[in-house]
Amino acid sequence: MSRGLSRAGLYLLAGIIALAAAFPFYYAAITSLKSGDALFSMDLLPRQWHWDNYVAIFAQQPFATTIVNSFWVATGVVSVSLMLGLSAAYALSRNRFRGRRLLMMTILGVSMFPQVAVLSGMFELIRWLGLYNRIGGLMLSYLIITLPFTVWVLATFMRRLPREVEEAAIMDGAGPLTIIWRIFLPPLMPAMFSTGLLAFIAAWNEFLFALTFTLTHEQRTVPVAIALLSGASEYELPWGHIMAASVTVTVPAVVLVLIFQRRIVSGLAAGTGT
Amino acid sequence: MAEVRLEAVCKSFGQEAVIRDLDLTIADGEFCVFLGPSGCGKSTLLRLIAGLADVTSGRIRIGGTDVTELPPKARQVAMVFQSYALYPHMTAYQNMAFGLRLGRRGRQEVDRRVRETARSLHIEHLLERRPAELSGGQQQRVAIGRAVVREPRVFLFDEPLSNLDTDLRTRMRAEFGRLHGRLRNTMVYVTHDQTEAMTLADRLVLLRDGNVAQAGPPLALYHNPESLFAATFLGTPKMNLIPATLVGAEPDYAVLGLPDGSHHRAGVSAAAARAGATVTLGLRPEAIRLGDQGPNSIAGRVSLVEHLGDHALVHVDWHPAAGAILTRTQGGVPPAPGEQVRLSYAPQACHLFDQDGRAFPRLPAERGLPPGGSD
Amino acid sequence: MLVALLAVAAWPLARTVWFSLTDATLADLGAARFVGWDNYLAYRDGEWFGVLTDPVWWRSVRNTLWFVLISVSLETLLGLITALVLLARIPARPLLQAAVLLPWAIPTIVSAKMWGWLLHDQFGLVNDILLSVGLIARPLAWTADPDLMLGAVIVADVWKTTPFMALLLLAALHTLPRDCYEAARVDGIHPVTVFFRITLPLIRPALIVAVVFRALDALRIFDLIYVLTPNSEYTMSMSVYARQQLVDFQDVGYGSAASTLLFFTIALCTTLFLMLSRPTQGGKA
Repeated sequence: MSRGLSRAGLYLLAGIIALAAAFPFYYAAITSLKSGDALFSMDLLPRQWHWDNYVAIFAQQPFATTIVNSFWVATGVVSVSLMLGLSAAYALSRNRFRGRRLLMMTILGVSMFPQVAVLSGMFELIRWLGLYNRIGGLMLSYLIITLPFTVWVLATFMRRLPREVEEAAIMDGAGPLTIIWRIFLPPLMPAMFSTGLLAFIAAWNEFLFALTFTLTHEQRTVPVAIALLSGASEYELPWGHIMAASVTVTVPAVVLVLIFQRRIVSGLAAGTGT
Repeated sequence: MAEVRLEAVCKSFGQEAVIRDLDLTIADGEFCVFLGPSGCGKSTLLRLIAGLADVTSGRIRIGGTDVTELPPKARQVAMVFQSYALYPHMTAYQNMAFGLRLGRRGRQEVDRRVRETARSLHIEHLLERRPAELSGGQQQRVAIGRAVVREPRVFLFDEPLSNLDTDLRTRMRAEFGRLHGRLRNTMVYVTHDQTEAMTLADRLVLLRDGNVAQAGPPLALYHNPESLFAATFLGTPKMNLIPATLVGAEPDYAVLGLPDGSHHRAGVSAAAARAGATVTLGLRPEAIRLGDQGPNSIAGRVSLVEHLGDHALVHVDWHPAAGAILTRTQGGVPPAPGEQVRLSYAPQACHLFDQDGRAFPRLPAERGLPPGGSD
Repeated sequence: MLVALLAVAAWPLARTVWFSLTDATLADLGAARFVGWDNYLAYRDGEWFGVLTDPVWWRSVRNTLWFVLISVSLETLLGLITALVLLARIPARPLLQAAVLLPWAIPTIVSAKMWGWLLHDQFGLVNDILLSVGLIARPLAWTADPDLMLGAVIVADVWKTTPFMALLLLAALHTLPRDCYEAARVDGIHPVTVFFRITLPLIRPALIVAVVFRALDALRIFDLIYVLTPNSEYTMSMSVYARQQLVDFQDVGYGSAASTLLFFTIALCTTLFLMLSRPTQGGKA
């Protein structure tokens, strides 16, 4: 009897968790489909499906441009991080040198950097490189966020590959580049994939640098665009538009996450060494 | 063909010396087995020959060429690893072809050599499979194939059988013997399994603490171990060790005082030692017989009998100052636990070691006095 | 790669520290003049100046610390519960896991906006529900009332980051040896006892790692607060304060000083955490 009771309790708990996790997003989606005064009624089901808000954000704002910006920034950051991360992870995981642990900890430490601490220095660097208000500047600055954990996760995965396989390749006459590309990369593809996904999401969601290092609408990324979405007056936020934009940018991320949830979970776990 | 010569080789990791000033020559075409307890440096030595690790000092020559500074691929050696180390994402064929392709061989030559090697190892039907689809024994064959196909001057094997189950291990062991018979290459084989060492080796190199404890044909090491270490490391079950005192050393034999006060004769030349010296008597279990035969006999009580089918191991307690004696009986009905028995052994069966564990020379059987239990 | 990391991390950090010792402004970084510790603390004409004398900065430190303390505690607790539920064999588990991952995948800005909407004083669903249940008599201004704002920020943060915690803990739970539990079951030990005596000690290292990660992440919080409760010193975090000085007030020297202080606060916390957690890891090092 108590077994059945605890079973029921478990299901109830699971239900509450699912509801708490998913409901706010559901409500946002509902809101985005309302128009006019219906926005201010708190129906949990839309009476009618209105796409006005979606039409509006693409028609009235350069929202499509910001999505494209976000996409390019995230893609660029992911490719660079993976390329650099792979070679760094190789160096870190295959060679035992003095201070290797310290270096790994430092890299992990960098991923915990408060972004604001490098803000002024980064600002200067980006201006000096002529990348201010360009998405190239964002790519550069995002490396500080994505590179450390890319290296960390890939190094963790790489250490799981047996050392003897690498030695077999050395005996076969393979150099470091051949080893990385032809021996390590293929089995690491799943890890590369989940790391890349995590990096993509991190870059897609970043706000502080994007807000500070861009100036014009045309160069903004999605989060900044949403944050700065404004209505007719300061006191009247266009909630319908905001929710529509929110749903639009979230859907790709959510779809990715749902498809690849197992890989994300393993990637996160490896990233913290658990 | 290639002789491998190690000259005053030292290897240390930080402060820790793993190989200490080791000299060794492995003759061309020899099947040489490195045997030793874990941590003796046998794998390190193999990796030094392979070029996977660099010597701290000393030289390594293969076929007369000094390869000490050369990278692995220039040494023309091939290695088979304990875990096989097959490339997981490549088929057996690709695994075998990888090294040849890197060596810029023509596609047709690569194909011909891979298929020839595969045929000789009976793995032709496995060529399109990936390692995950192969059994342990099959992976092992592919790993061997990957080494063979490169036609190296020297083969290096790093405990290649230790991941296989007993049955397969026995079969693959014979396979290595046949491989050597066919290719006649120099082969260096590392193991901690003395059966592999005894059966495969032309020459057995017993390593201890980073140096050669003893080297020679396996049977020479078995019959004439130069040290207590070599004596106890080879042979299963282990040699019995009995503390004794040297009572007298005659030219043809030595007289020993055993813990129970009896005097025994050992066919050993102990002239180098003084009477009264503390020594250790070593007796292999198979050299001890049940029953009262000849001058050397011990009375005791059976504490345990282990039946192993064709033979039995009998543990006999005899004196509180010495451990139980283990004997191996062949045929007949072994005694039951609790039974009082007498054990005896021939003087020629004795090994005798001084306090530092060095062996006294054993004397040939015909000079042993008097003729005790015959073999 | 090290060069890249150096370029994007070490160099800007060093420049930030340098700027904090100058009177640089955003308009003209080149004209910076060395002013020593003036941005941190200075005594001139009988008055104290500098970040360390600014009550708003101290307010932001308090806000940040309270925020970290409360939200990380809540996240740990809720994350652990969620992880345990996810570990149990229940039908539709993948669906539940997907739902749990959802808040994690949503951009922080989006979640800030969503919660801003849910907590809206006039049209927010939360007020509506609380009113209809009778818990409150009139709508509350969650994102404007000084007493409630930090709570609103914490709610939004807990919602967004509990999944991260849950996933890390779930990964740790998956690695636990099964035979321990079977032994406990054979011995007839109560599940609650099993949890506190076996599960918790075993995942303790992972739990500490997860908490440290979250705490360090929470210490630098910026975007959620910037969007959910803009320009309010009642919720201003240390990051928000530093950026306001830097960008909005164009005072790079002063803002860099605030940034540097945040950096060293976090470094200090990290060191403390590491020192506190080391002995519990079995002392294997």
